[in-house]
Amino acid sequence: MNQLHVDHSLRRGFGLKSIDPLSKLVALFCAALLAMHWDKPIPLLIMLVSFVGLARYGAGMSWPRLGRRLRFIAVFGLPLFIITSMAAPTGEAIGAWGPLQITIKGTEYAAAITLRMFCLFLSSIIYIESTDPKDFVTVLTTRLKLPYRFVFGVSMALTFLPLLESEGRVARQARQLRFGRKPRGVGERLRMWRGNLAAIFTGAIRRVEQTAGSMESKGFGAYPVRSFLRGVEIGIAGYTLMVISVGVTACLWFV
Amino acid sequence: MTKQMNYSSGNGVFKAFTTIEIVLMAMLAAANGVMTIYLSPLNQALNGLGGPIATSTITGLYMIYGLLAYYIIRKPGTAVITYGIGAVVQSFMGSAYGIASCFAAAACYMVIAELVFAAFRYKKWNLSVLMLAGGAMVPIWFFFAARMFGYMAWGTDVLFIALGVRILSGIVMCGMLTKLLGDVLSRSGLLRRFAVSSGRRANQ
Repeated sequence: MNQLHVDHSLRRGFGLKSIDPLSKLVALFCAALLAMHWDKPIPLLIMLVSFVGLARYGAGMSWPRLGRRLRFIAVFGLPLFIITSMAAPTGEAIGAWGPLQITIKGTEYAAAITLRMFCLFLSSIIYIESTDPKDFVTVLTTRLKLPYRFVFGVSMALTFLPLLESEGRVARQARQLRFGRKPRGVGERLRMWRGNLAAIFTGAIRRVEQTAGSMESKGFGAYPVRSFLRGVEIGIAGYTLMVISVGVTACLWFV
Repeated sequence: MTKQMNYSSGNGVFKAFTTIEIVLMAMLAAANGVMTIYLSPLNQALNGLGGPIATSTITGLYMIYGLLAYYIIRKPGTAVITYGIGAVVQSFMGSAYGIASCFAAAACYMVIAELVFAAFRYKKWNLSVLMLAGGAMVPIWFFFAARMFGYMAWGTDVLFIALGVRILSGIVMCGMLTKLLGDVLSRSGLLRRFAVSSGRRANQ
């Protein structure tokens, strides 16, 4: 029989880290829905400020780490703001540059879209920072009732990710060394990049047979059911978070 | 606390997959995650040059892993599992577009890929079908992305240019590259236990 001791003390942490992944996922999707529904900058700015606070004090992110993350998304957000403000000119013009016009409404809309991108990104970062991927994998099987063989694939991909990344980096460096200099022009860069892409996929596939063989020799998939060492319970805090998230989203939908 | 925890290995479509096929799908999803890391500087550079329209040129590359898995395994449900795993991996890597976008994009890709290969009854795996699948996977997600990131306000002409660039990227960077990469890997002997190799032998 699959009887074992489930140690919930394995899940430690404070704030959002103590809440199960499923409840936080519901909250995340509610926040995403709300962010996509609003197209005015003020409510999205308030949402972003709330997320910054939540990231710092709920997920325990340090200010420098938070700053680095925000700088990363700014690289994507700034061009989106510029292009949207130029491509969506409606209302009174405040400036013109050749055929391009800058309008108040267009700029407002661009600000809203950019803030939306920041909100979607930051809410995801809060989730990642406060969630153990192993708990997420467990929840997929135990709560969402997804087949464990499929869910194990998720677990495996997350495990192999750093390994494949380091292998790809070594292959890239080796190729650069053999080349003798930095690639010049588009053609050389494309050839180099094609080699890197092939190395990543070949490295991944090369491991398939060996990994599958090891798993089968240990009896993976031999039984229709399986058990987990780590249990993930949805506690009072989790249910409360879900109810509040859905309730707040429903109330704020008409703001 | 003692607790019995039994969870099903699945039924129907999921039972049809062998362990090696599940491992392959997981590895390709992980490889896509690694590729995303390497594409990040290119993506940022393109974004700086021409915003979301310029980044559309490499959209196809982000879909290649699911189509490649389908081309190699050739079983119904492959896209659902591979893109599902890929969505979780990308979510935990911290995508610039957020977790909701990762899941929404994966859902769009998997539905279209399954429909395209079902339409051909899982019997045609030539370049044209793969290019069709690569191009067809783009529009639905583009519609959602346009709604999410405000492209709807751009004006019809700009919107159609962006969609055209993305479809072209899907056809070339996803469909064509899948065929190229799949055949190269198949010839290397790494895929001898998969349907792609038996398919090649039958064609020879």
